[in-house]
Amino acid sequence: MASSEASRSSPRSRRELEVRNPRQDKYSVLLPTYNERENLPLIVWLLVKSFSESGINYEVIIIDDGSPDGTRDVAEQLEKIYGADRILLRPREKKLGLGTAYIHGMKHATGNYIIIMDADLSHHPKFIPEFIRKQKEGNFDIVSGTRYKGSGGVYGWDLKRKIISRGANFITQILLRPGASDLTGSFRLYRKEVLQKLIEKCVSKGYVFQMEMIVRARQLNYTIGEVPISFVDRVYGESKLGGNEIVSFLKGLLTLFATT
Amino acid sequence: NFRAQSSGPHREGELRGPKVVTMTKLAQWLWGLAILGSIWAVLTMGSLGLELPSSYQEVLWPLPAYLLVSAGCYALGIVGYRVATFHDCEDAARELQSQIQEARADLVRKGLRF
Amino acid sequence: QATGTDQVVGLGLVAISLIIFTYYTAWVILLPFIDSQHVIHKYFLPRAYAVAIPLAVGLLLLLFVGLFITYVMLKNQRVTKKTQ
Repeated sequence: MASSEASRSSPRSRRELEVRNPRQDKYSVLLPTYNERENLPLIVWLLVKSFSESGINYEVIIIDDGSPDGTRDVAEQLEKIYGADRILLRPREKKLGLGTAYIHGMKHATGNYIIIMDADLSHHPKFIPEFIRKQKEGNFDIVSGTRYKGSGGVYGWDLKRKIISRGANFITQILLRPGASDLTGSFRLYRKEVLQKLIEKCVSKGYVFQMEMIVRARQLNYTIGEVPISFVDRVYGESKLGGNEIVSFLKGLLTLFATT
Repeated sequence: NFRAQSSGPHREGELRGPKVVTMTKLAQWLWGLAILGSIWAVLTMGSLGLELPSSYQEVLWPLPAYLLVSAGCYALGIVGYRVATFHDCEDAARELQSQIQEARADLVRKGLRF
Repeated sequence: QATGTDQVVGLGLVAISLIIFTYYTAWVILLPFIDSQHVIHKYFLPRAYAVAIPLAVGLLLLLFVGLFITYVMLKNQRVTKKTQ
């Protein structure tokens, strides 16, 4: 499979090369945190449990954006408990946004796969082995956790939230035809170079950033697999879905609609 | 339904050619609407010299409205169905709660100070 | 499984969409082929309403969405002015 430049080899030829070395796979979990002092130890404990029980090689990279609540303290304790080869602290001084947190985290990642997820316990690490299995099954560039298909679901959402969520997802599917059922989800597994490439190309923020990643992935002909996940929302009480979020979501959606 | 697995073009042993510029989704929609719209306009105004029987004419002229209403009903129905079948993961919440207890105990044992 | 009320509301929306779709399809697609003396025609409004009503509803929806967006954006401006 000839290609003129190594960096522009077709996704297909790269996939074929990578299938040969399953033993050497390492998974880097990027955990951007802001004020997660309570949840951080718990999520790390769950991650360590899932990975060790499945015998998977991993590392957890904690990217704390100068949390005032002492998240960094707790992270340092976790590093001592589990070892600096498993828990990597790569903090930043102030809250700088998700895209840059991923970039920062990836600079220090030694894995060939990256897992992104929320640190607030809404995403459960038990699904990670399933992501990995799915990725190998279809040799996917990306595996996305979906709340909307199969056994996927949520806990802690009221009727209004569900209606808005399904409604927004419906409009997104109609307008963007993205080939993935959950675009705003942020529990995903990426090949490292795929994530790097996509972040370069993405310009939006928040929910829309996650959507844009999938849309761009389609444009670049990356393959996407899906795994149903349960999303346990424990913070919904604090108006996470106000008029503001809805309007910025619509703005982002229409921008993607008009530009991709 | 939407395919979860999107596969790229299947090219065996081909050199990657120059990037093809694809239409934006907006452009696709506009083209689609323009084409359907002109077909409808041509037929309703009888420009092709086709003499459709009056009952067919009666069906033809409200068609754009019909498409919109049908699309609206489809949207309402699908969203309604998906809300009705949106899984509530009670088990996951319970499991998480008990694992949180387990984790706290274990971490304290390992020396974590919360 | 989804909880009780959510299922009821969801299926209610499905029912409404089917009812509207059936009535409207009968009105626009079937009625022109039924003899104008048939009794069924008295259950349907004059044909012009088949376009007028959806048009009015559509415009109202657009108005509502526009007002909502304006409201949110104005509220935003007021908040950023306060923090300056």
